[in-house]
Amino acid sequence: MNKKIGYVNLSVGEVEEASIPESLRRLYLGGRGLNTYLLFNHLEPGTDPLSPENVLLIGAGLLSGGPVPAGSRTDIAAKSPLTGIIGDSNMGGFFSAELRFAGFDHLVIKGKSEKPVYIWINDGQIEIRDASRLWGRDTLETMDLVRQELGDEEIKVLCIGPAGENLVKFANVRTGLKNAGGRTGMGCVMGTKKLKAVAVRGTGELEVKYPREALQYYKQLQNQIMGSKTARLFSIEGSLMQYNPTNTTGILRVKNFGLNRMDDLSLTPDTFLKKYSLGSTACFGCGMHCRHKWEIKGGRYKGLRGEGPEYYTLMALGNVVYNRSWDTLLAAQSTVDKYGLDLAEAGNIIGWAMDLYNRGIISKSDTDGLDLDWENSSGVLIPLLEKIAKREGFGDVLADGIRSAVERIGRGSDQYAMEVKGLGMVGTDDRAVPSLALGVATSTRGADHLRSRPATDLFGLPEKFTEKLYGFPVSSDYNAYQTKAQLIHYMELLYEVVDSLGICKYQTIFISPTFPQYEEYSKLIHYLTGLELSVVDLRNIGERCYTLERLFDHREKGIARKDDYLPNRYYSEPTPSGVSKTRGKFLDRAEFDKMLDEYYCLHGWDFDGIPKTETLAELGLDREPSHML
Amino acid sequence: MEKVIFIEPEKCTGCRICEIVCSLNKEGAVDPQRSRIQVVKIDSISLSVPVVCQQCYDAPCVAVCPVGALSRDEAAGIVSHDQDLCIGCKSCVAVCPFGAIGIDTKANKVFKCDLCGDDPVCVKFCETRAIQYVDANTLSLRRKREVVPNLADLLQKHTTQSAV
Amino acid sequence: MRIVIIGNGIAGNTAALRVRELNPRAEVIILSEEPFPLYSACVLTDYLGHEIDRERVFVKRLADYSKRGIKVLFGQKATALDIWEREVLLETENVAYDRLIIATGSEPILPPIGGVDNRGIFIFKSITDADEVSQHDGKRAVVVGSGPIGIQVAIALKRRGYRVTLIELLDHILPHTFDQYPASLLQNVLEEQGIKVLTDERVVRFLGSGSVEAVVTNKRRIKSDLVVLAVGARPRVSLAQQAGIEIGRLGGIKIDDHMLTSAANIYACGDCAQVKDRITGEDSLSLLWHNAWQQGERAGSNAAGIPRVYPGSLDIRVFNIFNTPAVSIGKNLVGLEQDSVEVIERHLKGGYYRLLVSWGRLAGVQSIGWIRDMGILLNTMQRKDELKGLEGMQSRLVPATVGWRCKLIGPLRGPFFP
Repeated sequence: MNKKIGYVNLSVGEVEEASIPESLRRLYLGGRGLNTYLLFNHLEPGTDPLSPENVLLIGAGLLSGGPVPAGSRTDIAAKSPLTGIIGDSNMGGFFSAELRFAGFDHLVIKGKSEKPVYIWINDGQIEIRDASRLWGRDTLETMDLVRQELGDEEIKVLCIGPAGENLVKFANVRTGLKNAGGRTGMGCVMGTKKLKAVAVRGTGELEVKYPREALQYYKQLQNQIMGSKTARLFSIEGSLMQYNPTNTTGILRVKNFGLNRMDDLSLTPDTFLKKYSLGSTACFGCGMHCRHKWEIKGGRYKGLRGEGPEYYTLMALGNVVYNRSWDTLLAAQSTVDKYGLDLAEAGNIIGWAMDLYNRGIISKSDTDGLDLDWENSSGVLIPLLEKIAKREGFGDVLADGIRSAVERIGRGSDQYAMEVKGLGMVGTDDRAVPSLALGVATSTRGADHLRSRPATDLFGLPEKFTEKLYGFPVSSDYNAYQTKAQLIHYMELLYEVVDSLGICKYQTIFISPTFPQYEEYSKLIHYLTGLELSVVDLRNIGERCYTLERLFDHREKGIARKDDYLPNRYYSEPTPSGVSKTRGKFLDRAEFDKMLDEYYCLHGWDFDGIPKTETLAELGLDREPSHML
Repeated sequence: MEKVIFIEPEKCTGCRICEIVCSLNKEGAVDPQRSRIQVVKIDSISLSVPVVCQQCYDAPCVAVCPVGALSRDEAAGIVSHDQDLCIGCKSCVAVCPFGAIGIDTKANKVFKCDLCGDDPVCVKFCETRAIQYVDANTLSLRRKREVVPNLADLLQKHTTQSAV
Repeated sequence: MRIVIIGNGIAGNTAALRVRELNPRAEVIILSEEPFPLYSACVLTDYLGHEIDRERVFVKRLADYSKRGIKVLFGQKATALDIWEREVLLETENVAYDRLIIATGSEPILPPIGGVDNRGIFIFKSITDADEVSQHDGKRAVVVGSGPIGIQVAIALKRRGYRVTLIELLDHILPHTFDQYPASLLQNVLEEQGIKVLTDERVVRFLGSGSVEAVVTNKRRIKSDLVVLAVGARPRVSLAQQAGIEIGRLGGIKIDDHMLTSAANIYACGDCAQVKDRITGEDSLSLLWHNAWQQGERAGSNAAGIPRVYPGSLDIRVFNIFNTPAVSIGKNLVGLEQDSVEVIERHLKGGYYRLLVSWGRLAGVQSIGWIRDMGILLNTMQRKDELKGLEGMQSRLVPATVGWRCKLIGPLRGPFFP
């Protein structure tokens, strides 16, 4: 609780620090919540995200690095150059813990450096150092070089690759071999500031208010989590364990959109586990170790090693682009890792380009001669990723994100563009599942499942059970529209708290109803920081932070009800395959609108999805921007 | 019945929970620098190794300590470190074959694992059981049992081939 | 059975304890010229420099001996050995033995320089020496010799408020421990703290009429009221020599790998014994605490009837130069064949590192500021791992080698991988 916030102005090369008042912790906790507050306060409305006036925020969660299940997350925020609304990326690994050991919880980076630089944080000292030797290097090389230069292998590095340097609008920030803060183009923002990396090393300690109780409770939580079947599966198969059930059910996007199940089973997790996986590795403080280590043992990419892949990788670089080769997928993973390119956006936009090509809307003359036939996916995937990262030829058309690409190509290509608010559509096909659809449509950063996804909604949990879990009954039928708005609202607030605490969602009720949620977090916060925050307090904090994000979106781009819909085809085209509950489904617009109404009501927003004045007053947001930090 | 900490690095996932709980237990705060057990990682070959005092029977640190602050305590099965006698010369740090002795720059002394008084906390928290606390006698037998099935496999293949 | 041990240093004490552990019924007697229980000669300079109290120098109290059933006869010098009658002749009595362990240690070399008999000129070996230097009243100290003892005495005297000048005959300090470049880094530390260091300089004479007043070298005259001579030590073997026991070519008592001397039933251990270096196999005198400790342990075991081989001495030296730790293991350049040696050195955050690779194997390591990983390198040296070229993998355990890609992962494979 005694860690500082650092302010770095790259234009003048100045560094300042301050303490974070407890009052702000009570309102925003840390991580994502406090980042949103800082962004709202420090960014001038209407700022061009590519200008030096954009503000980059890096934040550790309130509990990151502590004795909490998977307290390993780092939140990175700014105004997104891709969407023009809130940019917010979250990554695992070891960075936030190290940042806290070095004495800092949050960083506010402004301005722009003339020459490439990196920030070096070491036991309370912040230094801006020359990065000309690093500029142009891929992310792995960068991390190695930084460690060599500073002479310490324990240094953790957050950096961008060539994609960020080339201002690809969906360039990500990277740490470790594979962890990434993706989606909203935070790497691009770093690129505009000529900030190549942030390196951190801390030998300090993290204070724990009640060590005995914290240790005991930690063990209790670990037992609670790891004693479940879900955790055991996760620790063996990783996030890939979600692939088979969701594919069989028929809720995965295939070939951009249109198909909702992959019938070719070349790309299954079993193959991966047998032929490529070397075992598991973990993020800081996580006993579930869901990340694989892999090696390609033969063929064209023989000897290539890496970590991952995740469930999302299989969707974005597999199903959506119709790639059915494991070798290609892993090599593509390696490519995006090195270039610092977000695979969700990249996969989505490549899927869209391939869809256009296969419909004859674009041809080889548009694609630099590459044959984007679905059957040729394995042959073009990696070249396309590289072109995007380097902004070469056709890659340059794609590098500004899907809305910009639609404008450049025209020819009715917007019909096939899958995005919400400018962010690429998620890897699942949510036409049959209203709750998931609502979450993606309303997410404050654009089409995104991580703001609210209740994967458990697919489990068909009985209403008596969900009533205990959420405090209100949720229909056990995942095709239903009733009660789902309540569910999404509940999850949005919860995830806001989780991201602000710096905890990984895989150890929350995201994937298993027995995993920790509000009660556990309230206790953890108390044992670690001494703060007394009840379940109700935490929900209010969630509501406050989420509403502030919505306010930001509205302020910057007039985001309102009109933007809270999925692409039109979701409401008109039935799914071609799947099980009985997922075949022939599409969203009922009238029902969807009713859900939206209920959703806005729960948030205290008006019919148009804009926070009401009373709501702002209740949450204390009428004072914003309050400039307290 | 002496128990020893037995480490299997191939099971270690590099989560560093052992560092969190050891330092929390011993120092009252999360402080990996002052954890008695530390995980060393070599990413290029995907290796994570927990390193902790092996409580050597013939400990080089005991031999080198100029004030007798380190001594083998047979009853407890550990090499015990007397904080009061320690003068912080760090000779023990220099000779430990595992680099398992840490330096506490605040207290000007060294620190090392003492098995938490026969109930090591790190063992309790290790999810993959990369760190275990096992009976010294059965440890050897266990390893033999782990190896023998591979041997049986080999023998079976060999006999099948010669039968042809 | 009666086992007599001459010498109350760490070798003698460890030998006594080992005998007691292995044979509860044997009679064990330690004879010593000094009247004190076991104390640590290594920490005398910490006491001199006010870093620890005098009582912390003592590792045992008199009561500890009787608790373990070990008899002591302190305060009498052993004048002769009668190996036929099996008796040790002390000043006022004779002590018979069945088996004898000689652990007489080492003595400082007194250079034959004119004026050395002036008051205020000290050697620095025993606690009595430390007491005398402590009680001496002076302002300007000169320390002759920059070996480990010289360095530590100079630091201690600086801490006591003396103006200190350190004189070294050869071209860099700690010449038998560090190479010139690392030695120069340490010299910088000393000079930053105000110690004047003179290398390539020889003391010619001490001036004084009863009490020392100045030190004359081949280059200058230095005003001084306190001089400490630290030009080296040699094994104390007169007792053994007079009794006809064979002395090795380096001046220590010759022993086999069971600590047995050329005389039946007589063992030797510690500074007075000549042993073999564990890594190179060469004859060596290793006047270091941990070697004495282990040799004593082996001597005690062998004397008690449980044969154990002594694997050889290890040259490990650890220094604290004004809060900068420095370590040297194995040989430095001076001790190696010049053509075969590859020097790998690196400055990194918080320290400096030098590896000496001879014929593809690690022969010596010197480090300043980094000490945690040294034990692992010691292990590499002991196992004589071949260091294959300058490519391969990195090792956090040897952080300096990142970037050189030196394949020093060998040490990890030892304890964990079959």
